Amino acid sequence: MNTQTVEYNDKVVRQFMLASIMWGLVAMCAGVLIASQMSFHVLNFDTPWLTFGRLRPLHTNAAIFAFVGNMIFAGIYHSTQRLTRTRLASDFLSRLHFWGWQAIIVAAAITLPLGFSRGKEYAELIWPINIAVTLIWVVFAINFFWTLAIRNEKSLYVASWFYIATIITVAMLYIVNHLQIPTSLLHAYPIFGGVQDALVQWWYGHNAVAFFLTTPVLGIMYYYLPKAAERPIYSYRLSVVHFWSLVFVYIWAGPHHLLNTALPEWLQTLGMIFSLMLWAPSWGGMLNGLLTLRGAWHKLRTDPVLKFFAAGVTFYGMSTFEGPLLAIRSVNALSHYTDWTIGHVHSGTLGWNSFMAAGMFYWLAPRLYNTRLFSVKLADLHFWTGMVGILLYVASMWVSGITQGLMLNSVTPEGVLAYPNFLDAVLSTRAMLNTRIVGGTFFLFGFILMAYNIFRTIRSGSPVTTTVEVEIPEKKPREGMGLLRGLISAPVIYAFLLVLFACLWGVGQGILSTISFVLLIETALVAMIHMSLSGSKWSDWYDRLLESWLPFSVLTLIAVVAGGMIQILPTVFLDQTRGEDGPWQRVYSPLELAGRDIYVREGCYNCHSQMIRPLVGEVMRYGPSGRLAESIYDFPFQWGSKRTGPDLQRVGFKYPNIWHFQHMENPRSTSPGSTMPNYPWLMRQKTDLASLTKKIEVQRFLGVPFPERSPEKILADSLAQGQLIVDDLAKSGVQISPDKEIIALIAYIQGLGRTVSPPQPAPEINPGLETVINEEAAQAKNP
Amino acid sequence: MFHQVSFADWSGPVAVAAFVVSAGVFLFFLVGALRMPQSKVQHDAELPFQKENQS
Repeated sequence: MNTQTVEYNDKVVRQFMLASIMWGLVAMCAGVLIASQMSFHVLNFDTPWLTFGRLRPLHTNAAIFAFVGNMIFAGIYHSTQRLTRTRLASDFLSRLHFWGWQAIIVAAAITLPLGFSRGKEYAELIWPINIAVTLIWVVFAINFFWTLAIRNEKSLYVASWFYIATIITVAMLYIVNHLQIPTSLLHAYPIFGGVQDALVQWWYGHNAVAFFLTTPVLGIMYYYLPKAAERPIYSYRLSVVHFWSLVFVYIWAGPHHLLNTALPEWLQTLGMIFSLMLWAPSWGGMLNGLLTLRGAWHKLRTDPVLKFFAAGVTFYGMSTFEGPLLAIRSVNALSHYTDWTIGHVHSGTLGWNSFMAAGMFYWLAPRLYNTRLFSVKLADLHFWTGMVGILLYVASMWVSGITQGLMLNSVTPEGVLAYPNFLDAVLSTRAMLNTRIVGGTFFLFGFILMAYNIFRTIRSGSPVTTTVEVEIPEKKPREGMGLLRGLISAPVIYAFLLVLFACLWGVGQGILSTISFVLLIETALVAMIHMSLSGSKWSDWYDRLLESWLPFSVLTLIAVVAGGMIQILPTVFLDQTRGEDGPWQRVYSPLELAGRDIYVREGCYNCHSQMIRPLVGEVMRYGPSGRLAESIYDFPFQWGSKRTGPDLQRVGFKYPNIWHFQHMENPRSTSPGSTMPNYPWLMRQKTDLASLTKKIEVQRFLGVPFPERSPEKILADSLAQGQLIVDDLAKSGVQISPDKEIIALIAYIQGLGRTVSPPQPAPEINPGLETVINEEAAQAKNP
Repeated sequence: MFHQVSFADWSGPVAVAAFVVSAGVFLFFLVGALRMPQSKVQHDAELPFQKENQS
């Protein structure tokens, strides 16, 4: 038996840790600014790149991908090397991963304020950056799996499983939700539209939370919490069950973001049920984390690391309790589109992600720089200011959200809206919005304390080299099993047969269903007898499977693909208009399409929805509830997720053109008390009419029945429609040319809610009828 | 481009199949986890505590 000294690559860990702290400051500063803009509209500074609609995507993307992204990379690279007793496979790939990711963040920080956006939440980045993200994620995946392949410890700790699930699932989600067709270097339309786009988006959006903000941080919890508590995880078996339950359940829950919308009801029910099922594994994981501290609770008084971990894990439990609660359809009717959702999201990101990050950084920094933490008192102060900040933030958003929901849905005994003016709800919650600013500022202050504390810690030490002595056996240790051997074996064959018979039983008819049920029971019995007769072999097989990253990863992929399939495939191939006898969406005119792209660029979807739910208050306030066929030509969909302003699905011709002009110029002139920014640049900037030809060509390819028009005709039609609006504005004394952006935006807004009758369905063909139809057609041709 | 194919006839089987496949993988690993030998559980739980040297 030879020994070998392995030197870990901690340079990249240090880099990711520092990048996370730096971008965390940026994300939180942006958060406090946009929270302030919700109360004080002057903080938009009448400047395009400082308006709420453009900065909110910057805040969310920076928090998720820059702050938490760099944090999880630091944690994964640090813990994986120790758990595998192996240096990262490639220094080059590690460097490429780090610098590539930072370049992506910088590109996002430049393009988002400039208004280059895809108009989908947490997926706003434009297509060239999407490609870069995919490539860098592949670099990360190669580096990680390569390290697993050459590891010196044959067992794979449960944290590694969470990392594997993260890498595989995020890749799948990101690619599917970013399928798009470019119209230019900086613009593209998603290949999905309307309800298809809504479902793909929230399948991605929900699971971005699940597999980017949760599973990797759970992996980090399973490594660093035992390390900090100096005792193994409370129940390793429970951690295994926790992992598989989450992978199995999480991927199905996305539709709960679309409850009470035009989404098919069976999908809403599916999303709700799986969301409720999430209670069990989430609380199992939380309890496993907290029970690890058994016998070590006294350390919380002196150890800031454990303090942050204990609070972080508790917030994980609280927010994963609240999430399924909000996914109950009747609760969602009250909470959706309100600040309650914002409070829920922040109890997760601030309480779970940020506190786990802080605990990990306080643990890592002294060890990576061979020194002691600069100040435990400062870390304690960080903890308490952060905790007060979160509580102020979350509590104020609860109160604000419930107030908004109750007021906006309230109907008097006489059958009219109790608060017909939307602004009543906005003004009633102003105190809570101001409390949110205070809470956010507290949290930011605590984070600044951490940045200073870590900075002083680093200055007091120097980068340390960590090595480990690894025993190299004469013969290479058994490498688990290959992919083929892993998947073609008795347990997998029995599992496959059980799944097959269960499917046939579930979907088969008559005798097929009965036979399948009998075979299902028989196979289960045979499998149990086989398992009991060769128990050791099966255990051995299972152990070896857990040591083999490739078959393990394939099985993880199967689990998440199967869950995703049910949401994605039916919607991809869904005929949205099938059976729709209600109103259909009217195809946009070229000028309206240009106006829509301005609406997306300015991020109007951050505050306005375009989906009226079938609730009494909403129907009375906005008009009939939204139907599937009313957004089939929307690439991307703009249903929104929050109403800081009213729904706009049927706002067309509700107000005259001059009202919209004045409202965009200064919202307070038409809506006293509004917090909406001014948009003076829309009156100055010219509409990009030249790009319409290509945009319409792409939309036609996507299935939108735009009539064929030459580029000259598109231009002429746009200016002609613009001139009609200009002439109308002139009656109110406004002089403006038809090629200005405000004209295109007014054209789009006035078109919202304008529908057409559904086309007549084609007659059904059968042998007898076909002859009649052909004869009728012949008669029509030759009357 | 996606508006021509209707799904209603096969969405039911897809839903059942997807659920059963996911549940199958889950149950498969649940049974495996519950049958893990205690020695293996202890060994894996101790993995974060392996010794390392700093210089």
